[in-house]
Amino acid sequence: MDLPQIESVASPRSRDSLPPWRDDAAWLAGGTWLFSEPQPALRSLVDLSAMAWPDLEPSASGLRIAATCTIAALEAFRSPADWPAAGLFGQCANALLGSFKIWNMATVGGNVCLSLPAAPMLALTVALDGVAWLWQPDGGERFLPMADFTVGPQRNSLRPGELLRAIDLPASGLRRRAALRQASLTTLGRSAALLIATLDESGGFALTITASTIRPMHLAWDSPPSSDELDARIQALLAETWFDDVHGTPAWRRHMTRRLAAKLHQELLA
Amino acid sequence: MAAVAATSSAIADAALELIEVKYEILPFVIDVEDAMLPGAPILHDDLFTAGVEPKATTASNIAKRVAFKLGDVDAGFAEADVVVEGYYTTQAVHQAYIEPHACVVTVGSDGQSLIYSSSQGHFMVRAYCAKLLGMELSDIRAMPSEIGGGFGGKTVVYLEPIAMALSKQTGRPVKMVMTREDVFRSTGPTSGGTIAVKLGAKKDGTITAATAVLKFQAGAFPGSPVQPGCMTCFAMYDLKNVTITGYDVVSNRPKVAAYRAPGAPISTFATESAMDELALKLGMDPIALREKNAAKDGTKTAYGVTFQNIGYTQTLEAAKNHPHYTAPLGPNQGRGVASGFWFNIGGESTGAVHVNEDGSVSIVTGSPDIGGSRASMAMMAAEVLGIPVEKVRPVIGDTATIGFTHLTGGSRVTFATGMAVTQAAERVRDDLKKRAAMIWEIPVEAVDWKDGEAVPAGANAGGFDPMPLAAIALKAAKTGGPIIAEVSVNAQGAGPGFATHICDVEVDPETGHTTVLRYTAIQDVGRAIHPSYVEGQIQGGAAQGIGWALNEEYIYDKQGKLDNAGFLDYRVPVASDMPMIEAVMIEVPNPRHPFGAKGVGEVPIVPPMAAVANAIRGAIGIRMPHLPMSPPKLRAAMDAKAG
Repeated sequence: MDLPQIESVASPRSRDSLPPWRDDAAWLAGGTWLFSEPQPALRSLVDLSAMAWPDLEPSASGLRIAATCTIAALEAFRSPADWPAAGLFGQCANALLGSFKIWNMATVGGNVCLSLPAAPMLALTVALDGVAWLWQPDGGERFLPMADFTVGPQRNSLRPGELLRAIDLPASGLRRRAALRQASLTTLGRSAALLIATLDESGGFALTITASTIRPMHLAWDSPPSSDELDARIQALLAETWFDDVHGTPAWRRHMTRRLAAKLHQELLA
Repeated sequence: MAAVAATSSAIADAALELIEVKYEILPFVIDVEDAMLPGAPILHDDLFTAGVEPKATTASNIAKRVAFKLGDVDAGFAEADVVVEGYYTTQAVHQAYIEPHACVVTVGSDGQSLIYSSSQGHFMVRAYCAKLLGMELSDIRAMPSEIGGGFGGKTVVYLEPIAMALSKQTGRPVKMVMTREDVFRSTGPTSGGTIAVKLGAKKDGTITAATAVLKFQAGAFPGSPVQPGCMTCFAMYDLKNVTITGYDVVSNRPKVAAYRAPGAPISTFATESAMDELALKLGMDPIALREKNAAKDGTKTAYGVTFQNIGYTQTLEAAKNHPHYTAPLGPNQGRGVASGFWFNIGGESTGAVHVNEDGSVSIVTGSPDIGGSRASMAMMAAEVLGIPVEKVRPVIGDTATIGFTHLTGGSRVTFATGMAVTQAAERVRDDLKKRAAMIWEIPVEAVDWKDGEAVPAGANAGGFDPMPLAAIALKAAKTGGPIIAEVSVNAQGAGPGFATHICDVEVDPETGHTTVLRYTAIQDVGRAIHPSYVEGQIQGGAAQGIGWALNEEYIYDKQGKLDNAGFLDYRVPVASDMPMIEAVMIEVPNPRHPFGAKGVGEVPIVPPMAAVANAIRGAIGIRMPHLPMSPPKLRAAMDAKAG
């Protein structure tokens, strides 16, 4: 939809040309959410597309994903053979509620920064121990573990004027075996539970729970837990952890989380 | 109320921000049962319950009471060997038309106004605007735009009177377009409701008594479809003892609007679920139970009509003999059957047939086409005139160019407007015969019409070459001028519609998710004028009903605020959710229509909710009385059953 109240659009080509931050501005990446509903508080957009950040930068230490990298580009990434967890890229793209056509515009950074509980890019980057590279408005920068990035539904740790530049996935995370399970009220519906489990070579097991919880929950074990231990950790989550909206009741989400976790446990440890 | 017009959306938005509204939050009630309780906040001090004796003297949220009765239900229940009772609820749902409401209105300096809008009846648009703005009908010309779905939701006005008032003040054309969120928040869904049902029967399946109490959500103002809900809920059955009571209840929600077969799917979900329970309790096949009690020609309904030329038993027979009904089922799978009824309506329609100079034919009607009616009109006219349908071009006239025509709704257009078009075509045919007789200089009685040509008959047979319609049209100027006919009717005798649906589902015991595996919809369609459009109507109605059954609902928070105002959060079925819906057309022609047509668009949405519920009952052994039957509800029910 049109955003008729927008008065200015900046298109910086470098960090130096970023305009001073204003509270009625928004970073514009793919715009698939921004243009999907009225934004009455906004007057200014800062279009990041001209920054021309490389979408994906693989290296020995891991993979840097630019905030402006589209879902389509991530899904199309051909990973090294020793990064089996990169198989999650396509699965997470498919977990996005939206046509594959949306992948061509929607960005990894936009999905993460919107911080919806069902955001599959959040699930992906938390599960693989991602670290957010943030540009601060004063010219500084900071790094934030993705596990700490989101604090609640559509609430995150970004400070005013901070810009997500990229997310770094460490090679150690990408080298893990990984599996994903998702549930929703309807086929191809918005995720009501989205879980990713990973297993490293030394037996370290981690379970990332998203969509069913108000923010990503990252549960980790140094050695593989039994199915009962896994279930006990999930059952121990506080009642207010479970997300409640039109896409599923907390009780059902909890039920599905336990079921999906059991399946992931079985898949990775059987 | 305030409205803002501006030369751009940005200016309008900025102006809106300057309007400060202070709301005083008054006590409110959003649930239908709560609204009926003593002490509930009263919405309207001047609303007194109609339809009660003695006459109501205190204000109430119950706007109207409707009651239908036949026989003596107490005696009937006393006769019964088995009794089943149930309490069912449904939620408000959206008609889910894809095109949002939109209009362009201009009021000229001479006071003449022009409305372009998408609606289910531009005469309705004209009438509402005239009434609300104190204008003469003749000062308003309403133009029908192509409509992108309505399903009852476009039978009232929301934007047009406001746009007209703004245009009147500014002297400029005014365009208004709703966003999807506007549509969800500010237009009318259909009612949610509660329905209490009780059935009594003898061991052989004969129903001895039936009662239903319906409480329908009207929204903030009276007008729920509780009356048609009452009329339809038991109409499939020949019942000697029956009472049906309905309540139209206001509450602090948006005023409801019509939705396909208004009221019938809600009440029938309850009664057809109860029929399934009765069959289970009796150990009878559900179709056999329905056959035992089926309405037939001569059956008198509780609402007073005696049926003639109905095809309900034929739908049951077809269902029983359909391979679907006996196909094997797998684990966690179940099969449900349910029937439905819609009375169909006729009413006022106008149709005009113009023979053009080159022999092509134009048809003008006043019925917006939301289901392919133009094609049906063309086919009927072509049939009467004996010409290829490709020679007939149907169009929708505006309020200044065609006579009054009631809404497109209630499955009335093919019947009523079709009757007007057919009669107009017959008049044209008669005129063409007269013209041919004039050219041949023989009596008109000596002219027949065959395959689009005038042919001499009787003693003149073979005396002249047949004269095609085009040849007669070419000489129209010499035989009396343009060849046209316009007919207005108030069509009576709409044939009632019946349907029986079979549904197979599989329930995932882990997730509670229901997959519809197979669906067969069998319907008495009268005569299918355009079979593929009839098939489309049946499939579309069934799909909407399945969505209503499994997913759809307006979700309000405790403050009455809508939580799912968009199609991402309000989930209608998509192609990948649905199996192929097999439509089986039973043709029991309606003798009151020249081609035997009955309305076909409403009935298919009536049985699905109960058919799905009955299938789920078969799959998991649990009756789901509350819609939608979503995975969390199924899981909770399965957990409760497991203890």
